[in-house]
Amino acid sequence: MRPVSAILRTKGVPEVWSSAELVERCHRGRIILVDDDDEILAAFTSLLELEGYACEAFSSALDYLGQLGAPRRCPPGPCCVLLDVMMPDLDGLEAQRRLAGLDDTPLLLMSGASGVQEAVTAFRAGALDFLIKPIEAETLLEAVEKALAVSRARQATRARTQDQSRRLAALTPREHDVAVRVARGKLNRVIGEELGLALRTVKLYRQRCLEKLEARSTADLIRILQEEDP
Amino acid sequence: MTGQESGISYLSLGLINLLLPLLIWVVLARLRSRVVALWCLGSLLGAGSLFLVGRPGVLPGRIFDSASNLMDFMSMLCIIQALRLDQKVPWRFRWLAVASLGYLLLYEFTRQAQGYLTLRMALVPFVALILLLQVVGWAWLIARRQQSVGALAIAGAHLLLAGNMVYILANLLLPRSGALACTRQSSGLMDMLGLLAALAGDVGFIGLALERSLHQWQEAAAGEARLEERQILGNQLAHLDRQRGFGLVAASLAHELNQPLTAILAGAQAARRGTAAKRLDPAQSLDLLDKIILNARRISSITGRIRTFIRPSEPHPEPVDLEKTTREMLELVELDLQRHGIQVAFPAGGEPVLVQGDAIQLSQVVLNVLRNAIEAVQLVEGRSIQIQLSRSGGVAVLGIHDSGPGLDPEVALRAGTPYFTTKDQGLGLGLSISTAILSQHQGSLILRNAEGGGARVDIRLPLLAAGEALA
Repeated sequence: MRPVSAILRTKGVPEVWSSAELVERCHRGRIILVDDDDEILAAFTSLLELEGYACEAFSSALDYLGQLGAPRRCPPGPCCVLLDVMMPDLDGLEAQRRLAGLDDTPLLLMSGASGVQEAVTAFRAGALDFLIKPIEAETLLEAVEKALAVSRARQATRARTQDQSRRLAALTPREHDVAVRVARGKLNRVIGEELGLALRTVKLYRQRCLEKLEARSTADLIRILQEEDP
Repeated sequence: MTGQESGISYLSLGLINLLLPLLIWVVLARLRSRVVALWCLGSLLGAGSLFLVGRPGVLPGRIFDSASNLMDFMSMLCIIQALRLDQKVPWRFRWLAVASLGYLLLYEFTRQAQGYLTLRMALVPFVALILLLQVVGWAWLIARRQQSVGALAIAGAHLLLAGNMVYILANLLLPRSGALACTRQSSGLMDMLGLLAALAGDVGFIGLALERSLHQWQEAAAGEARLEERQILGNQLAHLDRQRGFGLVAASLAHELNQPLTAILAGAQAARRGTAAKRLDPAQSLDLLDKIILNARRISSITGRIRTFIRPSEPHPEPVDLEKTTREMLELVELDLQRHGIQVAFPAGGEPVLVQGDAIQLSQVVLNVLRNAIEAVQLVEGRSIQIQLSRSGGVAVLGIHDSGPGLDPEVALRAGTPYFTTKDQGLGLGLSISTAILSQHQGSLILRNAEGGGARVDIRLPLLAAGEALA
C-alpha cells in the first residue's frame, strides 16, 4: 500500500496507484468527495482509502460538475458521491439539483449545521443519507457501503436493460408485433387473425422471439417486454 | 497726635500690610497663581507706601510724596487687576503702566502749577475713591457670582475706605469745614480704617482663594467620577453588545469549529482502524497524527478568537491593522454571507493599514457595520457588499457600501441615536456604541446613502505613522 500522504495531496484519481490496484479499489467502490475544506477531504480520503476504496476529491461542487461532461475511463465498479452542503461557490443542495439531471450516482449529503429543512430537502431530492459532521467512521462507512450497494444494483439493472434492449432490437418487425401481442396475453389464433398470419407461422415467430430474447418461458418474455415498455 | 506717633502708627500699619501678603503667599503656596501674585504685589506696594509715609526722612521731600502716591495708586491697580483676572477679564498690563505714568504726570503737574491747590488736595482722594469703588464693584460681583464670603469681606472693607475718601473729599470741597492741611491726615479713624481694610481684604482674599480651590477640587472630583462611571458603563455596554454580536454569528462559528473537528475525528479514526488492522506504516501514522494536530490548532485559534472577543476587558491600545481586522470579521460572518448569497468585494491592499486602538473594540465596530450591511442587502435581489480601505491625509478610511435599499431620510436622521432601531429584535445600540468607540479613538463614523444606491458607512481613524508602529 502506498503512503497516504502521497494520495492526500492529489485531487481527482490519484496517479500513484498501479493500474491493477486501481482496478481492485474501483471494483470495491469509488467515492467522490466534495467539500470546500481540504483538511476534511484529506481525512476522509485517508479513512476510506485505508478501507480499500478509491477516492476522488473535489474542493468545490463546480469542479466536480465541470469534469462530469469530459469523457473519462474509469475501471468498472460502484460509485457514490459524498457532498458537503455548506460550500461557498455552489452549495450541496443546489449541486444535488443540478446532478439530478445528469446521472444517477447515489448521493450522500453531509453538513455541520443540522438544519432540518436542509435534510428534508436533500431526502426529497433523493439523497440516500444525510450525515451530520463530525461523522463517526462507522456511520460513514455504513452509509458509504449502503450507497455503493445501491449503485451496484442500479448498474446491474442498467446492464440488464441494455442487454434486453439489444436483444429486442434483434427482432424483425413481424416478430416484434407477435411478441407485443403475446405479452398482452392474446391467444395465437387471435394474433394470427389480427396480423393475417397462419396459426403455424405465429407459432414459429413466437418460438423465434423466445430464442432471440433468451427467454426461458412465455412469462419471461412478458417480463422483458414490460420492462422495455411499461 | 504728634508727628512721631503718626510715624509709628504708619510704620506698624505698613508692617501689617507687609506681613499679610507674605502670609497669603505662604498659606496659598499650593494655589499660587497670577491672581495671588498680583494681590500680594498690590499689598506689598501698599505696605511700601505706608513705610514711606511713616519714615518721611528716608527719601528727599521732592520724590517722597510722588513715590508714595504712585505706590498707592499702583497698589490699588494691582488689586483691581487681581480681581479682574480672577473673573477672566483683565486689563492689558501695558495700559496699567500708561495709567500709572499718566497719574504720576498729573500729580507732578498739580504740584508744579500755581493756583491748583484744591485740585491738588482733591486729586489723591478722588482717584483713590474711584479705584476703591472698582475694588468694591468687582469683589461684590465675585461675592454674588460665587456666594463667596471672602469676596464680601473684601467688598465691605474697601467700601469703608471709599466712605472715608468721600468724607475727606467733602471736607476739602465743602467750604464750611475749611481745607485740611494734608491728605495724609493721621486721624485715628484713618488708621483704624486702613488696618481694618488691610486685614479684612487680605483675610477675605485667602478665604476667596480657598473657597475657590475647594470648589474646583469638588468639581474636578465629580467630573472624574462621572467620566470614570461613563467609561465603565461604556465598556460594559460594548461588552454586552459584543456578546450579542457573538450570539448572532454563533452559527457561523459552530460551522467553523465543526470543520476541523470533522477532520480530526475522521483522521483519528482512520489512524485507529488502520493501526488495529496493521495496515498503516509509521510514515502514514505520522502523517495522520500531524493532520490531527494541525486541525486541533485550528480549533484552538478559533476559540482563542472567541475568548478575546467576548471577554470583558479594559481597552488596551495597540497598533491595529484594519485590513486584518476586517478580514477576520468577514470570516465571522462568512456563513451568513453564503447563506444569503451575498457577494463581498474587498480588494487586497498589500501594506497593512495601521491605526492605534483597542483591537477588540475596533473589531466590534467593523462587525456591527458588516452585520447592518448583511441585514440591509437581504431586502433586495442583487446582494453585494463592497469594502474599501484607503488612506487619505493621515486618516484611514474603511468604506463599507451595501447594495441594500439605503436609508430613508427620517431613519438617516435618527440612525446612531441610542435605542433607535428599525429591526424587530434590535436594541438600537449597535451604531451608537460604534460611534462612541470610534470617538474614543479620535475617529468617526459617517452613515449616508451612496450615490449609486444603497447605504455607505465610512469608518475614519487617524493613521499610525510608520515610526510609531515600531516604537
